[in-house]
Amino acid sequence: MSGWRHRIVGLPALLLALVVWEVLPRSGLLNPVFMPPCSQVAWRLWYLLRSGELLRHCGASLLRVTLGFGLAAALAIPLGVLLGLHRRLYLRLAPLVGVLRPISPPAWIPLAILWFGIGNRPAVFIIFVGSAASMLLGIVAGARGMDRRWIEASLTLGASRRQAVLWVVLPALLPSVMTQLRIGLGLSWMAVIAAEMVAVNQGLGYMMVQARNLFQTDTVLAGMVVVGALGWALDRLLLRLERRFLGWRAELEPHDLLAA
Amino acid sequence: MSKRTAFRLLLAALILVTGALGCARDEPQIAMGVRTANDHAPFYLADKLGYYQDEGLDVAVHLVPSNTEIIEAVQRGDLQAGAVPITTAIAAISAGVQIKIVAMTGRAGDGLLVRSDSGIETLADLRGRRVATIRGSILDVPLRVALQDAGLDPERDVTMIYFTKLGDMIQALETGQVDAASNTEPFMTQVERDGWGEILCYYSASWPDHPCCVVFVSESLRSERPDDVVALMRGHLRAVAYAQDHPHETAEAIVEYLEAFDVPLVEASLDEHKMRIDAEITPQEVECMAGLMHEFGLIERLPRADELLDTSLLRRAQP
Repeated sequence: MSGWRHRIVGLPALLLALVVWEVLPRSGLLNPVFMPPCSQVAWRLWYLLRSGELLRHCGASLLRVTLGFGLAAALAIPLGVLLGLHRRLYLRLAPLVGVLRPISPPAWIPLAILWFGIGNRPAVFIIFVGSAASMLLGIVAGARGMDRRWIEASLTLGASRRQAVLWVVLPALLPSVMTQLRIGLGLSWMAVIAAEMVAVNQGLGYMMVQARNLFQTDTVLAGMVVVGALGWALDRLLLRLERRFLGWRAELEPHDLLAA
Repeated sequence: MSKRTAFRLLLAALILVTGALGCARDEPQIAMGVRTANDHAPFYLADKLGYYQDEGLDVAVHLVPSNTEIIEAVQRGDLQAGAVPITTAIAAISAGVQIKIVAMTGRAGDGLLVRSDSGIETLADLRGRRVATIRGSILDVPLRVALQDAGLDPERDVTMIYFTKLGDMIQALETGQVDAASNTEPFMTQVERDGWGEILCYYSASWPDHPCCVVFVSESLRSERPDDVVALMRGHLRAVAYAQDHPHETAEAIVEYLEAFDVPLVEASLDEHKMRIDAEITPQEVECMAGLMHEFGLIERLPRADELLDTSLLRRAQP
């Protein structure tokens, strides 16, 4: 399939979903108070954009996601590589990470207020805890699952341990790290909604929670559309970076077994 | 068809009919959503003392975690009636939710908390300070009115910090993250008793006897079964009268349903200078609240009085 066809092949499904979304509330099959039609949400988005409110909320959320995700990545990448290559350390820390990982971001809210007060800091912390442990475990799994023969070969050929880590392990781990970063970024966008329930006066999560309390469902849906679009755009950005810096890696075509 | 097969079919039909009858008997005539709050005591009392049954009405009183969820459950048809702050009911009606306010359940009982060591002695001292509230709620509108009365612009002269839970606001106040927190009874009396905080003011000082929580019913219940709503109102009126005359027993019921606090504390918080359990409601006060919410930008559409409430059912229920 050629480039432009590849891009538009998903359009019919998207258009069909939008038409169904418009028709169901208008026909009365769905209650428009709980599910306003697509055009009403689009109108609300336009209103929020024109008033500058949407940009303000987007800016606040982007800042928090960038900080929370950045801190999580800064911890998860080096620690993940270290734990993946240091068995005894891994055995000591794995249970702790395993216990912390399933705690959902909203569960941290009371502690976040106690420890960090109000404003950006507790929100950044909640995004951090919402994404760090998953990324860490993914990177550890990538490091532990690496082909041992590559390391052994480099050591046999005279590389020091430091050189083996720098020139063999890290490049080999990069694809797995990039995948974990993409997963972590997705988790950060999920956590931002919970994070912005904590005493902040702007942000997409704040906008959606306030709108829900005042039954402005079109604003809630507009917020969801923007969160989805921003998350998708940032994921595409990471994918581009991955392709640019990991161009040496042979790109695998997804298997087409069922369509064959 | 053999006799055996016919017998089995008959038995299956009997089981189905019995099951259906059983289900029908289990379905209450009115399922009602309420919260854990002082002014929701009439529903606990009516349920506990059998006032609804006395009216020939099978009412299931459900404790629901949030006001929004009560409205959503009514809109879905899971509940047919409920009690929420008047601000929540107005916001829902403004957004097109098909409900109608039919009675009051409590007045006042909300105000501002500060830390004892804050040096804040009047509302005017809040200039430039951080005030915690829940935006658009019954803790927010009277707060804005009180600030305006004290000569402060709520948007410019103080920094409003928006929370979603009462407990989080108290925690933020105790730890010094905010300078004042809008709150309600019995939490305010609890903070005062704990010693670290004090009640700066009740909003009833600037807006005497202002409405707090209201009873509402779904439009379908009101239009299809008005007599059931009248019976519900009779039970409500009796429970309100009982609560007004028996503060100790009311406090006991609140503690039982809230599963928190203690009876002396709740009884102290029911003091008439703090709050008042009441069923009467006037169109003027509902319109006044809706007008203020519209003025403060909390609702986009100002509903008409006849969209907001119907007092005729309460009048029919009165002796």
